[in-house]
Amino acid sequence: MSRRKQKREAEAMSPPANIRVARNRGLARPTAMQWLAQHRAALRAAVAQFFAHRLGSLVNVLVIGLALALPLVLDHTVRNLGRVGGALDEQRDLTVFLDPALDAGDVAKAMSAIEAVSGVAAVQRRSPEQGMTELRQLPGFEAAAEALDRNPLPWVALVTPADVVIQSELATRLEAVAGVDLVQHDAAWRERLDRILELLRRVVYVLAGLLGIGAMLLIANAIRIDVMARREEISIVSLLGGSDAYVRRPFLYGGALYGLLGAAAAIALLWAVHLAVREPVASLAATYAADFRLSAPSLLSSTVALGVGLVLGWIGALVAATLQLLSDRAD
Amino acid sequence: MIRFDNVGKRYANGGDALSELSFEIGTGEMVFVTGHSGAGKSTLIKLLALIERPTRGQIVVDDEHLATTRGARIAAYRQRLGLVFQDYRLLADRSIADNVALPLKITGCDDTELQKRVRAALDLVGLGGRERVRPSMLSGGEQQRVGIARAIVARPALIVADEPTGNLDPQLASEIMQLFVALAHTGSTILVASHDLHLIQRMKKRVLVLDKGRLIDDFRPGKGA
Repeated sequence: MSRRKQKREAEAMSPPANIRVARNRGLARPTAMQWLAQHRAALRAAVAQFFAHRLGSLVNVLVIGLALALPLVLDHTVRNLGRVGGALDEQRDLTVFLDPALDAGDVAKAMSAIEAVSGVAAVQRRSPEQGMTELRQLPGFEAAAEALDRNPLPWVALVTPADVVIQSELATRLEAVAGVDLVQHDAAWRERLDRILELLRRVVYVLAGLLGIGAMLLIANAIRIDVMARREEISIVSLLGGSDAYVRRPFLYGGALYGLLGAAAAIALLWAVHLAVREPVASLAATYAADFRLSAPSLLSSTVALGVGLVLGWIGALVAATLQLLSDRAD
Repeated sequence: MIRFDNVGKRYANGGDALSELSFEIGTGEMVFVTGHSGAGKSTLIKLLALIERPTRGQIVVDDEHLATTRGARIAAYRQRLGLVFQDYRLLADRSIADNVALPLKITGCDDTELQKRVRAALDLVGLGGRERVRPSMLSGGEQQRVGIARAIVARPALIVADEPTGNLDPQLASEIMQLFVALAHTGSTILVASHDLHLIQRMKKRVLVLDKGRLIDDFRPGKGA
């Protein structure tokens, strides 16, 4: 290469002398577009790094997915159990069985007395014949009903309570009515179910917290190993003027990618569990003559899971990359 | 541009790498630093690159007081430097174009400008047309040229080179030095640490001579010691 040519090319590399002092400093403050370009490049680098170690990355994603799947599955279970409770809530009626020995006149008196009890909004009467007809319609009970020589069923009053009434208190008042043999209501059972659901919800929160931290630590460890493996590159980039933020950025995207894909794996696992138990649950409900079907995981809960995974990954990577860079610098 | 004011550097083992070092280098000047092995050349380079900090004295580069430069300002300062390392410091898993492009990517240069500058820098060091080659496919001298291309690609105000011609044949070493001279003429300040006295003599530039960490000579051509 001739000296003249070399000098010409060197001059081509340099800006005019009057902007010499400002050169490079202008580049040190990237515009919004350049900043975005840097983020795109960091994301590309993170994806490339992920695929460069496919097997390891996949194992990490699955482990993170398993950790996040457990609280998701439990949350899904609790939500569906809540629906069972909700369905029971709608069935607030009390069933009042009259003494089978009552004659028609006593039945009429007892029914009137029940209608007069405070807190009763409506009463629906069911005769022993209506009861027998309903019994015959239940699967397996037809033959048993035929075998009876007389109808043993009592008169029944289906009591709809007023909105503000506490069911157990109304049941006590109804039991006191002359001619009433038995008052059946679901309040106690439902309260128990509510308590169990509340307990399960707390368990879900605690598990979600613990397993979320676990997933974050998994991601942090994966990123820490990544940072250690790329020490030389980090050192060079830093010497060439890469700021801490610039050096950390691909690792943050890497962590977010792990978190996001881990959450996606957890959602896939949740769907697998849902599809596996959906039919058995429906069959079980049918044996109780109930039309209950598991609700599918909602789009909202899936979106929240993806968001949580992404944030956990980002935080895990931020902590790991920062600590590792500080540790390397101290060395 | 560069001012060393009574600078000293003592390492943790108690040895003085540099003592009472004072000199100034003006903008657009090209200066050699020479001396025997262990004279303090590399330490001086490390101080300028903010890899090490002085234990005494002040270093000022273009109004930047290096003793107090911290955090994000270190990165901003280094973006104004072009560093050539004795051991090249290239990324083995990237092409030489990607290696040369690193300083531009760090500063957020747009793709079109980046491609243009990388091609120009590689042409300048005689590696044009080999952009996609990995460093491991190159000889030591060629890798050193990649390092030089990376140092000049962002048009730095200051180029600091540690033995940049150590692995080059005399002809190529001379060409690289002429390139530095040309860059100095365009306003870049160049500081080259070298123990190649023949090359230094041929260049007829200012020479700082170090011995056991002390400046024993500040030779300016035409002015004598």
